[in-house]
Amino acid sequence: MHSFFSNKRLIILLSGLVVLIALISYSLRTPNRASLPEQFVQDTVGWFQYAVSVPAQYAAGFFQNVSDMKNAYEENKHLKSQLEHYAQIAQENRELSERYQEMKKLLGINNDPNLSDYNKYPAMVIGRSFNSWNALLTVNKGRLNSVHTGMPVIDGKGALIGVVSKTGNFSSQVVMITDTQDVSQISAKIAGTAVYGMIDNYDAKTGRLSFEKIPINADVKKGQTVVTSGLSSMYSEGLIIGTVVSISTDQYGLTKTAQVKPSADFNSLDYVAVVERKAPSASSGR
Amino acid sequence: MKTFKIFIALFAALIVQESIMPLVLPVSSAAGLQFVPDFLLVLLLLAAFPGHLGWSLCYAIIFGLIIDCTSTQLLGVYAFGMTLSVYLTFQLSRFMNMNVASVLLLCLTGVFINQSFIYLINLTVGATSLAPLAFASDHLLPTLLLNGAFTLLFFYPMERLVRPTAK
Repeated sequence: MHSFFSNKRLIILLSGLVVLIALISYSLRTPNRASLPEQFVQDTVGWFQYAVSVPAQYAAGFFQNVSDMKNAYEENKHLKSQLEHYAQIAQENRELSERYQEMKKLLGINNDPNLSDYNKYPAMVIGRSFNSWNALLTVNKGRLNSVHTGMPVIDGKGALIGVVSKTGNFSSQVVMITDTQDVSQISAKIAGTAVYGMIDNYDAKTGRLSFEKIPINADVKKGQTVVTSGLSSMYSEGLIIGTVVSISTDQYGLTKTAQVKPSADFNSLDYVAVVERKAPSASSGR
Repeated sequence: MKTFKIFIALFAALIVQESIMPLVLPVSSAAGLQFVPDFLLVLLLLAAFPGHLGWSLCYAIIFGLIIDCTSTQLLGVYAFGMTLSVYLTFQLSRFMNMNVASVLLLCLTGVFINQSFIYLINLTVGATSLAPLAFASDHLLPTLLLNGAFTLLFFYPMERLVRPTAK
């Protein structure tokens, strides 16, 4: 009988297992900073990923365009009807922001940044995790482009996608809010109200985020928009997370939980923006 | 030169797996079925069967670590999983006649070992709460289908590449 593992091989296997467990516990530590070899590998592979993903996205964009052309007429009609109000809203917006600036000046808080102020660094998605266990993106901006660990990432419509988790020099890794491994709690609120809560976990089966710890007497309705609250050190205020689709009371009857449909389309991401919060923050929590 | 070509082929598989496949077949979490490409492992197995076990094991560790750095949050999982599956599958291949059907079967076994190992680690660490049955039907089956198709496509080209260097 031919044996699968001789003694020597068994020892190699066992020491391999020890190394594996050591590596896993090393990568589970917090806070997670990329070590030098990791950065080197990430940057090198990132360069090739960038070279490949430019034509690949071009090709994917072509097919997208062809399918877009089909419903261009319908879309055009819809957009035209929306455009009628645009000039009016733009004018209103201008007046309001002028008044806002004046009032800020009157209050003497002209130089303090808002919770909602941020700088945007546009980046291109050059890789995604191909396995289903991690929801990760690789973008082509790194530490040299002033991207740091913990910065939020949004898509073109301003919807929150995730957080930078590891930075190399020229590329960085983003954990999406749909990742179930990352225990990222996001301080959130219902847009335009003072109803605060926490985005806690993501249900992959239904594709919904759960918005928890909402006060029991808060008036939450279907269709309301959930945005980041800005009350944490990471996220600036007003990054769109999603819309409420259903509300339930938690198992103890003390708080409410809302199911939130994410606004970002996680399946078609090509260009994103890394957001740097302008307002200073004291705490180190999320 | 030939060995260098194999290295290039493996690296190309890595890039395709990491950058192009997510665009073509997004691992959409809501739709249910998860087609996970494991092309690198398939190429490693195809290179291992004609007698390149040593190389394949080395490459499995190197490329596994690259995958771990770039697209997982747990270091060492792919490195260990791929090496183990290449070794076990190679040992199995000694009992078999090498033709397209048996190579396909062996490659699927390798992918099965790798994916199951990664699932087990993720389950242990608490990164997933997917039930074993759901894993088998939603993850394993589509993944085996995708990689089986890949094996059939690349069996002959890879054999042409590997055969001249076989011992």
